[in-house]
Amino acid sequence: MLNEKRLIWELKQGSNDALRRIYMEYKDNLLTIAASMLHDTHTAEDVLHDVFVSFAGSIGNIQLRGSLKSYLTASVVNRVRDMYRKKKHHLVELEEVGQLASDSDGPIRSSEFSEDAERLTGALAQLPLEQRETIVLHLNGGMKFKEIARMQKIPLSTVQGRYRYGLEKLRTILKERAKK
Amino acid sequence: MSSADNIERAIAELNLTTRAETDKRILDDSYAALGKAVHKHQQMTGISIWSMITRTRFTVPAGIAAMILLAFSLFINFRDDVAVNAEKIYGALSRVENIHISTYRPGQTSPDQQVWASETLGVKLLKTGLGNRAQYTLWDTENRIKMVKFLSSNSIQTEPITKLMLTELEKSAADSADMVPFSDRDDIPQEAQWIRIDDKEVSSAVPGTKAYELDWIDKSTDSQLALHKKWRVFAEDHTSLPKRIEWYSKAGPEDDYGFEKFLVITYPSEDEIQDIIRDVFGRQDDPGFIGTPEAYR
Repeated sequence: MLNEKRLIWELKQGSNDALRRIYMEYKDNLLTIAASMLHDTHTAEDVLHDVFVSFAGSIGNIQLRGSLKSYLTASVVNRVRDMYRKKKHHLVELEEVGQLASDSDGPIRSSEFSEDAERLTGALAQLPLEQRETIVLHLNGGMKFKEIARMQKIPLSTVQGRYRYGLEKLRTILKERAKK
Repeated sequence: MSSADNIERAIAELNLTTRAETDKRILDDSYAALGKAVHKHQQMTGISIWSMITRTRFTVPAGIAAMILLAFSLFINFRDDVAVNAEKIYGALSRVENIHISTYRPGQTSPDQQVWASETLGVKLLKTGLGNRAQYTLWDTENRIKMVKFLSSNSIQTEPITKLMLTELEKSAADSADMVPFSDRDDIPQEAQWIRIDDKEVSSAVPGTKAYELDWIDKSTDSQLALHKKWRVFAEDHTSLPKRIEWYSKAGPEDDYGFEKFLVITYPSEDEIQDIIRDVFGRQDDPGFIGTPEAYR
């Protein structure tokens, strides 16, 4: 368990070691969250890169109000949203193309994911971004609904609704796939 | 994978591992960004709260410096066990993140001055004066804000912290109640003596501590008058942290030492320091509150 406040203080003194420890602690989970949301590990790695460079570059202004993990997770989510906003023509909104991703091996380049995991992230990619985000944050990021609501500045009931509907839709997608 | 439970479990078990080349690329770029950020932050703030406190001789780092000096410069005068204890005190202080120092004059039951400092919050709170004439000054270097509360009028003044203010603060505070006698190696006289006090009456004054003393002749203020000084520290047994510090002086070797002042030191939590700031400057119910109440930012 990292002493996060101590690490942040060390970072503010310019400690590369503190930065490395934080990175090593959270990198895999953050990469998984980004890849699950993006359905693309290469882009997810870019997200991870941008998040950490930005985190290190703005250390002078950072005040930790929650946990470091929540802060970094929120940074990943925001970066993913930005990528969708800014590069919509590059990043295909998979929910708009329906079965395209799920029927084929898809545009995913996540060779590190297992075959089952690829199927799952392919199905996740068909959900609206908000639902996908909620599910991934809760299940993969380990965030409580309350934390997600606070992070996204939306009511708790909205988060719960997005999670429930998202999961329902995911189950339907996976069932349809299993029939084929 | 049909039930919701299974789906939830499967998503929770998704796991990717970064590649070594990815780690290197990200860390290299992050180190570079961190270096630039720290340099920029230091240029903007001029000085960190902790080094500010160091230079004002109020608290820990000056203590650390002194302990190192004691351990090395005066090593020849140490019995082994005393030297070890000096090192332990240094080690303990180097890990302190939050501190509260109350300075008393002999016979007083209320402190002349109190300082709360938090390394992690980047704040220092100073209380001077007594009763309704007391004044609180908060330096919040994270938000670069200085706030002063006057209890007499129950008013609060807020202003941004500038580099000039920090410099003036250092100068003005340099003569304030010291936690340690020396912050510069060259200032320690050769003949200074560091001993452990075996007198039970003294050493038991603060339960759970061991007492040590530094004696030296101070010639710095007036070359005609060599003032004999004594600095006594009570360090907690199991943590080696100073709990109380006493200052004495006398004019000549035959005189009795006069008790000048004493410091009571505690190590509050970050939350406790935040609570004090809240109590002084106003309640703030935001659970994410850190340092200065947001209403004043």
